[in-house]
Amino acid sequence: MPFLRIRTENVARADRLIRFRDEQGREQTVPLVRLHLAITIGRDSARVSADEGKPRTAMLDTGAPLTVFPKHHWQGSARQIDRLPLVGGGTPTGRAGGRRFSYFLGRVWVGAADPFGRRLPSVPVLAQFREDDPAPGEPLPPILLGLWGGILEGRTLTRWTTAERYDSDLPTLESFGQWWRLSDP
Amino acid sequence: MPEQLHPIPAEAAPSGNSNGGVLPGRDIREIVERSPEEAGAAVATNEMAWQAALRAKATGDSEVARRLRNAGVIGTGPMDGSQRDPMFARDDVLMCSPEEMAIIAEFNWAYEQQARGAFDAYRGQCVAIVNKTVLAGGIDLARITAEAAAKASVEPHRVAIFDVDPGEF
Repeated sequence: MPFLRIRTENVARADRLIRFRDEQGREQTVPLVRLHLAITIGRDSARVSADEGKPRTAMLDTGAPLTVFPKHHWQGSARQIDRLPLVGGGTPTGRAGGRRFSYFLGRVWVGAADPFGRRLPSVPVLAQFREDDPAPGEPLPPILLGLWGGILEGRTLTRWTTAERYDSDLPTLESFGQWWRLSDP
Repeated sequence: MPEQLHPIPAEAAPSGNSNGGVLPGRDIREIVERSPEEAGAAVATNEMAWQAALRAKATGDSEVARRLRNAGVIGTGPMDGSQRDPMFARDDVLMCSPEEMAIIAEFNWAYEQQARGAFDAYRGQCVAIVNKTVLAGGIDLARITAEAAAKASVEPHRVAIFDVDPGEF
């Protein structure tokens, strides 16, 4: 049963953390926790070029209906994507992070890996491939791994509470009170 | 509903099994020599527990895991899939290639740097990393990959591209 751990990462800038006083008057800090994975593009059995197929960072977003690849991440792997025509034609638009974007729909094989070097086999993923460029000064959008038609299909996503603050095998990996695992059946 | 388990009798429970796992061969042989009946009961109980453990692992049932620990069947490591996980089995996992592992190691370092604020100047951009060194940064992946590869005299596939989070809600 192949499985991997999902990285819990506090990505907040120190000056953007939310601090508040709880009911007992103690100062508390809200971490900006996100779930990160490394992904690879291309089938396991027919490895793409080493540069195309090398791991890249992605965010698991259970609030995203579909997987979204920003342009800067799919451009170099365009030949791995099977474009799928939309019924009715036209240029579809989506929205992520409060920003509307144009995209094409396609399917691409995606594998996943964790901070310990474990991986899950690649699976076909239906995704939105963004065609917009970020406005000058705007941050580059991340790869979002969404709920439907993606790497979660047929797999089990588990979250459990932990008292461990750090992973003792990877002491820089902080739990924020929760560990996550993605596994094949 | 958590599975009901019966703890192994104290005299039949494995001793010194600090690494987790189920009844190492040496322990069960000692029990067999001392008392075949006890050994049979231990194996039977243990088999039930082991099957329960496998099911718990498949379903992420931490309550069963706690019961197994309390019964002395498995060690005290976390159920996190790491090598400290008492249910860890090397055959269960697929591992990345050495080339992929090298990139993963760069990512692990990069996440640490990001948490320390070392990448704040690159928030919302990408950085190109080789041997735990940022060699280029920006929004043009092809450019920063080529720049880092040239600086480090490595092939482009050895350059890790890390997305630095904007760090805002």
